Amino acid sequence: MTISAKLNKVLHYFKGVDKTASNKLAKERLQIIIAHERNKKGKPDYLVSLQKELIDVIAKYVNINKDDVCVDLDRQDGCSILELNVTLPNAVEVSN
Amino acid sequence: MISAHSKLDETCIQLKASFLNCMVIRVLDKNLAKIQNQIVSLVNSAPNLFIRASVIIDLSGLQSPGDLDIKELKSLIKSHGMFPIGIRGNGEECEQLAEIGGFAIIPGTRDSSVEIDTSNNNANKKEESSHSTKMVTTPIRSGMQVYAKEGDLVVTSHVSSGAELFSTGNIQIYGALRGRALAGVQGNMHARIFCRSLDAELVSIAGYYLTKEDIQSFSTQGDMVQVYLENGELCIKAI
Amino acid sequence: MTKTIVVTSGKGGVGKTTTSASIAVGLACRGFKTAVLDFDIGLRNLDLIMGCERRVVYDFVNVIREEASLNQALIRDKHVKDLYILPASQTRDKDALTLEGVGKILEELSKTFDYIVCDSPAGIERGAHLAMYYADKAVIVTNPEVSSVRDSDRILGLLASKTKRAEEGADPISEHLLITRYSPNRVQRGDMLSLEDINDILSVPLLGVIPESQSVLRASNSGDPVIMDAESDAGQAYSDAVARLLGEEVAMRFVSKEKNNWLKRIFRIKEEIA
Repeated sequence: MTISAKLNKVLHYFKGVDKTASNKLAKERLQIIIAHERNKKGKPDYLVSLQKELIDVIAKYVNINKDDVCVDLDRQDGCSILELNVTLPNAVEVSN
Repeated sequence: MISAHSKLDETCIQLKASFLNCMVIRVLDKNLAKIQNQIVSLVNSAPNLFIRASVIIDLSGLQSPGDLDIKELKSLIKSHGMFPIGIRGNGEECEQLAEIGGFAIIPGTRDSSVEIDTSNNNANKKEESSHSTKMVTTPIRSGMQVYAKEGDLVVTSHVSSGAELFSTGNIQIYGALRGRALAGVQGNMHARIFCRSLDAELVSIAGYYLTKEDIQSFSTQGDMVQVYLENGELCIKAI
Repeated sequence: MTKTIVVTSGKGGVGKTTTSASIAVGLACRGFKTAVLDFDIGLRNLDLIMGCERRVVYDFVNVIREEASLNQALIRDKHVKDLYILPASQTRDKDALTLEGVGKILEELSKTFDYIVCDSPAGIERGAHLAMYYADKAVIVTNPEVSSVRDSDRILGLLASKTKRAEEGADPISEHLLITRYSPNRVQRGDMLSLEDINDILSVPLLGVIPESQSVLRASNSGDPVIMDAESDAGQAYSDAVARLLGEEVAMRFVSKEKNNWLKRIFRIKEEIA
């Protein structure tokens, strides 16, 4: 270790920066990831397959990318809502 | 005519020839209480070996088998999980016993005619059709089981705690024994266990066994030892 | 030829994921294109240790079920180039990972990757079995503690019998022992199993000894594998281990009690656990 590195280490030790920095970072990371995972917990496994199949069907008629289709399940007031968002490309005429 | 009939018949069975590998209980004494005791200790030493095992009752070791209570012997053997399927022996008396017990009669092998001294355990070895040594050169890890069915077992590395070794003959371990070793599992009381360092969970010869606690009372921990049976008791001696 | 390395132990909590992460980073730093895969079924850990938990979109099971391609699921590591992570699934279905599915993924990876590191879950059930099945090398992570040593012995038995190489009679998986959370001071006091004790029982070539170190916790807190902390003893020990894995001869460090150097003690005092 170089002398400056050693000095830095001494400073950190007395400042206590080294001690607290990483646990704060850990807490932040955990809060984000656990909130995200709790949100996902209620969702059934089939959403991914459902999204894929919907993309295949829509792609037969319209030129879309996988990212243009979004499937989500929401629970509000004891009622489940399946939300489907499809972003169609600009220069396309959708025949009814 | 025959062919006309066989067209109508459906093939529902097939006749095939097969070789059966089977355990043999050689009866040397008609005293059923003694037989019971020995069977109990044999089964305790290696329970998995005897569950639903087919056995043949060999009467060629008895001088006059006629007055043996064959039905009692049959139920005794069955009560310990084994299935007696036949009687081996020559002569009218054996045939009568087979009739009473409801057994098949299995003709004596050419080996049985060679035996003269019926109370000596060395005769058991002659009965085995082959005597080969099973050799294991890699360490025997926890959870592994090795069974030397015909003869000795030689291990050139160590035996971990949680491993089990079975052999009908001797067991030689050129390393540390930390697991279980059971020699002479089919009744060979002359089998021995040799190891470079004894720290075993259990050692057994022909059904007689010692656990780790018992072994500790012999002050041979860490030495090169042999384990053998003398007058019905297991002895551990440094080599 | 792609080499598949399984990091396994039997016992839980000994440092498999920490080791997988550090070995993967170590190999990638040396220029080898490396993929590290989390074989746990239901509990995802590797992504946290690697610091990529916020970038997980698809996982191992999604790829097996062909809901996503391997390219979509692999996450590029933020520390080193040529390092990719395949996170575990959070599904509760233990049958989701299949032998054929895993085989196909490894085959596809071996077209472009030099090393595949398989982070095994604890135990000897499906996840652990799948992680070791296709391995060429095994790193058995062991703590100098009785139950860990016995569980490692059990795993060694399985590596020699329940893997593709064993079943096909090919050359056996090369075994490497990695001892973690080692404390030479406690060994000297007689409180901890020594390297010789462990070698007597397991008899497996020693890949490395990772000393007990507070830097390991800091590393997982921040999501930067400990091998990247060049100042920490654990980090350096992992670097040494990677070097040995690649065939280099490196002297074993951090295995003897430290001499009483008061200056060193000021800096190291936090590292030593009383």
